[in-house]
Amino acid sequence: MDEKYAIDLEHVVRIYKRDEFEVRALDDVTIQIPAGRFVAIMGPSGSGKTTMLNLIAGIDHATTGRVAVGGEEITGMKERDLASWRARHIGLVFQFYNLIPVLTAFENVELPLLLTRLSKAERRSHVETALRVVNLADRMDHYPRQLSGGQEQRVAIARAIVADPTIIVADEPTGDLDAKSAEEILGLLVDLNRQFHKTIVMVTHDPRAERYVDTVYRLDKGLLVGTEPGRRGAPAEAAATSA
Amino acid sequence: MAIPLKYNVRSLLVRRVSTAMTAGGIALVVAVFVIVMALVAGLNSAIADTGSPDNLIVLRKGATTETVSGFQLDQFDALKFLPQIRREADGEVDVSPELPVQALMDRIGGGRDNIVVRGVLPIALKVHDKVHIIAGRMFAPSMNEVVVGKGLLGHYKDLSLGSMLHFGRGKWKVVGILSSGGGSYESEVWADIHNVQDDAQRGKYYAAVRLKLAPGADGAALIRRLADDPRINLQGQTEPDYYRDQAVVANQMRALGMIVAVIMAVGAIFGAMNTMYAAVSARTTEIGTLRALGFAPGAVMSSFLLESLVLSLAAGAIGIMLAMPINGLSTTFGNFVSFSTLAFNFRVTFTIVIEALLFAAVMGVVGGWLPARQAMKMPVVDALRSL
Repeated sequence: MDEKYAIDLEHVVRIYKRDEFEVRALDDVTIQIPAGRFVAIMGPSGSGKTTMLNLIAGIDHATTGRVAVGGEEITGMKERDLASWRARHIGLVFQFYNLIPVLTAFENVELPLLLTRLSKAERRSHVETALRVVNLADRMDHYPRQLSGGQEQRVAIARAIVADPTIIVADEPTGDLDAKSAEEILGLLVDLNRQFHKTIVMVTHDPRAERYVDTVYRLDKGLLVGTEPGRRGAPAEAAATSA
Repeated sequence: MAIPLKYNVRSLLVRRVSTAMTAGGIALVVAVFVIVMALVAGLNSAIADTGSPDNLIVLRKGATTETVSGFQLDQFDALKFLPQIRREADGEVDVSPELPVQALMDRIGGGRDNIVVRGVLPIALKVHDKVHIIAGRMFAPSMNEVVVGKGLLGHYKDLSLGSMLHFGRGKWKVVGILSSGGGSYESEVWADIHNVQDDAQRGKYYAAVRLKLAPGADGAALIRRLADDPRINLQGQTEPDYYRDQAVVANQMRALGMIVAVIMAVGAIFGAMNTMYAAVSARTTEIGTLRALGFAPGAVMSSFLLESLVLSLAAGAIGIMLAMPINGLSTTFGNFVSFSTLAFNFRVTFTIVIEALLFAAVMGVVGGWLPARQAMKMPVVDALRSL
């Protein structure tokens, strides 16, 4: 495992058992993503994109192979340790925002900070900053049902960045948004990448995403079938192979 | 830090109908629990408050209650001058011979009950130091007069001051009302012992003797003397010990009440379980999200257990409030130990309130345990996929 990579997957296989059938969701994938990159994982439905994202986020386990994120190998971690690790290193953005409906925007963003040792005043300061970054400082007392889809996703992004994670993983972050909101969210992710040097891994079907990312990894039927530079123009420094 | 409690409270409020239904079930169980326990506490108090620790009750050997006891005057004469018995300044010995008999009296709402009519001498008021005449006066000897316990007032006919009461073979004039600090004497009618002996046609004998120990007297030695002296040959015990034995009724009521409450609680637990399973099912994605954000499996389980606990404690508080109007309410109860009716007040004590809340909490925790465990065990990926 090389510490210069934010994400380092070696010969990763993920097999799901569905009744008597085995589904090879990921098949011997090796991929290294350097720190500070904004990358997209693309491919048709069932290609293994979300499986790969879940492994990187530490919410799923590889059947075989090794997964290291932020220089730390997470392959053999127990669930309790993984939970603590996620809280420190991973910011998650979901397609359907996954905000807690009974909590306000402020309270939703504060959730990851409840797992830190910050004081109440420090938490408030962090939450207000995160909401300012996503331009929602004036909506902090609103419940999710009182926000538009784009605003909800921005709250989710604020929640993802509030604890200053090493990596942000986003699963179809524009999948439930109209074109204008989708552009805004992609622009926001680019800002986070550029201004705060966050490593961002995004799973998407959205072809517009290619214009925003440094690198596009293409998966098909669990195999890594290609690595291309994003149309943002940056060279693809990431080394990737599919054995 | 744990998942914030407001998440649970607001989630409960979102599911108003199912929350209200479950809370209603638990509240009713708790209300029944409180009522039964208040009845038992009132009954216990009425029995236990009757005795004084420095009083002995003397019965025929082998007799378990006054109603099945009896002895002759010569036995009484042999015991009444024993040195361990307190004397008044005028030399009078604090020994109260007594003859309780049963008399049928008419309830105000219809029906008849057995009431204890206790034949006593005026010295009884000195021996039973908790008993006081709170209205009118003490009966005059041989005048067929009675004083009635205040617990009977409002439940039976012809008990007001000046009324003529019909029981046994005679008519009795009510000349006083007695109080005994909540004890069982408040469920009795007191009359002159000689009038009672005559009316009952039982001859010159006593059923029991109450006596007050002299300050510093060795009660155990006196009890041994009462048993061993061949002229006396009676059994003595302290009044608290005697009434503890009488409290078997209250203990049986408590056992019965607990059985009923536990059976009802099982139903309420299934209700709580159903609600919490529904909560877990409806919030699977939220569980997945919380877990993905870094909350540990134990934190998720604690959160759902806490939610169930909050629900059950709130329901418990409602149940207690529902039952509170019973506090202080006067009622009567057939005591099958003494074959008489005992008047007492329901007593919702602080202990009962705490027990009721604990009972509700147990229902909540037991009902919430399996659903909370299910939430904890849910794989994060599967939970997030449930959208």
